Amino acid sequence: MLFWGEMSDQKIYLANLAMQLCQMDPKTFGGIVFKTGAGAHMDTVRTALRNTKLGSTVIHPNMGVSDLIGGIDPIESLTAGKLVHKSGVLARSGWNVVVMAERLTQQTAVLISQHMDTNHTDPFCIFDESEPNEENHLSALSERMAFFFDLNNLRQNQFLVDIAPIKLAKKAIPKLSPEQQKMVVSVALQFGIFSLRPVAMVQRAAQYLCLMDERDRVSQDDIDTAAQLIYAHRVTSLPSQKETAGETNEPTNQNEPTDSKEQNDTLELPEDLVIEAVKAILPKDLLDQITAKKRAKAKSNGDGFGLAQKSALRGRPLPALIGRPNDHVRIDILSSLRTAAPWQKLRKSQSSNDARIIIFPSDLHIQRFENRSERVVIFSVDASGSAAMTRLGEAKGAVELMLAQAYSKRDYVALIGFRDGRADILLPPTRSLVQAKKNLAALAAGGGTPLAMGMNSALNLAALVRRSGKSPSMAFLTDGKGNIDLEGQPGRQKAMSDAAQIAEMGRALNVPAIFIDCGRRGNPELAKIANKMGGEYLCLPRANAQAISDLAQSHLE
Amino acid sequence: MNSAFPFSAIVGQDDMKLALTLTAIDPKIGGVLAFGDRGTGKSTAIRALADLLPNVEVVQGCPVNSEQMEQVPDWVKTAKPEIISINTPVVDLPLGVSADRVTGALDIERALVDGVKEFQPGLLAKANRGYLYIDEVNLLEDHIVDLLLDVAQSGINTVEKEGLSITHASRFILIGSGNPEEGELRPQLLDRFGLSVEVRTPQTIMDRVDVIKRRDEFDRDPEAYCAKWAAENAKVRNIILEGRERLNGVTMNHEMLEICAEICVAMGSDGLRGELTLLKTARAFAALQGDFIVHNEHIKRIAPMALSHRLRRDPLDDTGSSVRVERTLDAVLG
Repeated sequence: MLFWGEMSDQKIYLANLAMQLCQMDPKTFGGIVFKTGAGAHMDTVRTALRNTKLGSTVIHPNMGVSDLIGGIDPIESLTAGKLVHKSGVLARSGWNVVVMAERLTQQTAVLISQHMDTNHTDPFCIFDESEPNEENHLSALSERMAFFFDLNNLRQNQFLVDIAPIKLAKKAIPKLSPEQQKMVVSVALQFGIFSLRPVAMVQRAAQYLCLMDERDRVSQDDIDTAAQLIYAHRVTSLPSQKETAGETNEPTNQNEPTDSKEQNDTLELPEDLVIEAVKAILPKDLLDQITAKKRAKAKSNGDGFGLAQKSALRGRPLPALIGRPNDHVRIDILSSLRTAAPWQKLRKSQSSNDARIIIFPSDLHIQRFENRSERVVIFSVDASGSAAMTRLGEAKGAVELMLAQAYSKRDYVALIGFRDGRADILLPPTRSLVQAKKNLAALAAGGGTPLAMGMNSALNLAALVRRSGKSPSMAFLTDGKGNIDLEGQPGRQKAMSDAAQIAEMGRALNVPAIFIDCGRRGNPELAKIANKMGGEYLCLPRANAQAISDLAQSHLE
Repeated sequence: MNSAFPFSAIVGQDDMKLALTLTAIDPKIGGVLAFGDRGTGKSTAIRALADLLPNVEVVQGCPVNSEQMEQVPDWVKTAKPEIISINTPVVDLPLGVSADRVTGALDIERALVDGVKEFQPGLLAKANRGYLYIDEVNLLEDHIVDLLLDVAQSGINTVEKEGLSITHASRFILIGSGNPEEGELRPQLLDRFGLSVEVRTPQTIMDRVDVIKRRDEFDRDPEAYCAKWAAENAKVRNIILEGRERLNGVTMNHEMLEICAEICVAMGSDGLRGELTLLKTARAFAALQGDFIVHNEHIKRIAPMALSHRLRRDPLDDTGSSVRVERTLDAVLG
């Protein structure tokens, strides 16, 4: 069944297969997510989908509720003189092509997924054009999408789409044997996939693959392929080498990988074959990532995207107000109609005008929104040297304290740790205490101080945050004794001059910043850098969680 | 809603099933909040609930499901003096719903066509004497939450807009589900839920295999599958009905009342609401178990779901709230 050619050939083959499956059973598989920038691949897929028998409709992230699931059509209602409902895009038949999905607000994404749960929808094809680390709100949606493909590394002119509908043999859908079912379940657990949705998807996919091949029994190959298609991008931990399956092989809690049972020398277990098949198509760097740090579970968060999501920021709609629309305020047609409606009979009897609806200027209502900008406090913490563990611990405490009040303050918090030639986003911007605890469970410390990297990473994140409409601010927690430069090379002088350079860049970005010096004596060099960045400098040798959180909140207002 | 997965065929999820059953026995307990990761079957369980609930008697044609003719609001013109039996309403409140749709508003159609000012009831009317279900409740927009808080508290929906002045009863059991990783719930709304449960996927391989086996069977032929489980569902429905009958006879001695108070004090749960819920839930649980006297075991079983969302939060304490409840329980009950 499998075509073991070049990696990208296989990817193309699988992507086509995935789209076939989506067309066969959109209810089970939901759809497919492509991670790709605008370009040839996207055009290829979109054209192909448009030319399918199903056709396609485009969903744009800016579509409102009534565009998506239908509602009152004010214009039609006005001309017809009675209430006219319009159906939403989701009710239309054809592939639902979601473009620029990374711009979807969380509300819209969840709205679509709820609609999928309760109504029939045709398959989705979602194009996620986000940059690495850019936040998106897709997790609710991508959980319901069986398939995911990253097309970014695929060479141009390579992607051929051929998804003419396959005629399935008119046979009963074959069942998986009890052993096969157990295998499907157990493989998911070993890869740290806890949701049951993908498991049901793999079962279904294997059944369809078998039907497509006109066989009566689901084969090992069917399951291998199905698992590759559905499990591979959801993997959050790798099965340890000595692990085999067994009934006792249960996770004690969701955050831990499965308990292992002693290996009995049966290497050719069908289960191992599935595991190998899935492993074979995992991206190389993912393997490295997972084996390098065991925090993988928190990072990929079950959605295969690697970034968590936060609540949307839309202006909160306020009741409409009587007023005149102009360039800045929009007319609220529904409210205006409502006001005018009861008077129609009366007005018509007094007017010679035979217009269907008579609206007076005094009927006009305008829309109002209250726009509260949400703040994101980015902590960038020096995790180098001997005192690093305590410093990290206190920073973590401060993050959690701030999140505990996040609801009332509407603050998001992010945490960056820099040490030993690298700066990692330990906690992407979040408002969820639960998620923070999950991500910050294990932190690494020690090594040199790449101050410039830490600053650079914070600035990049701040820029991303700002692009999504929130207001970022940064808090640096360090003794300021940088000794690793931007390229990761040791050397005090270069390290500090790099830091100064980043500070200049930071000033241009104009993000409020605070430097908390936690060295035993104040470091004038850090004060200088703070000054260059236009930020504040505070010397606080024994910073604890409460103090840091208070400082960050009071100084970054 | 014929194609909802049968309630009794749901594997595991004992806490959530118990909480839903208890609120069906005593609606005064208040709602249920189900928090858990994606793909744990929160919505499946709640959508399955509708099938299970005993019928309610309503005045025919009354948009707010009034029980008797006298209770029908005066603005209702469609009611007929006849009592009919309908399924307990379970109303979905989708995200992105407009405030008008929730509270009800001027009926535009009637206004446009006939020039009549008439009220078109909203979801709050439909949910009266039934359930109101909000999926992803933590993502609900603030202004809708504000509306709900007020109505959930008073049981009355008041609409004052566009020249309308309408009130009607709106007593419903609030059911919410969500994923805590997506943001916290407003404390005021949290407090309106009587019980809260944490939903997880089944933990053993055998249970998980069962889940996908049943799912497969259901997907092949939903109707046949539901028919297969109809008897089981009827059993649960009978248990609920029996529990309701027993409920008034369930007594609680002074010692038990003291224990409840002690637990709440030890836990530092804010306000009296926690204590009241604890009492009511313990009684409902006793009724469910066929007991007429509440004892320790009852309280022990239901205390975590009645109290875990009411604890004052200590962000630096890593232990989950249900663990803290259990710890206190052990200390108090010995």
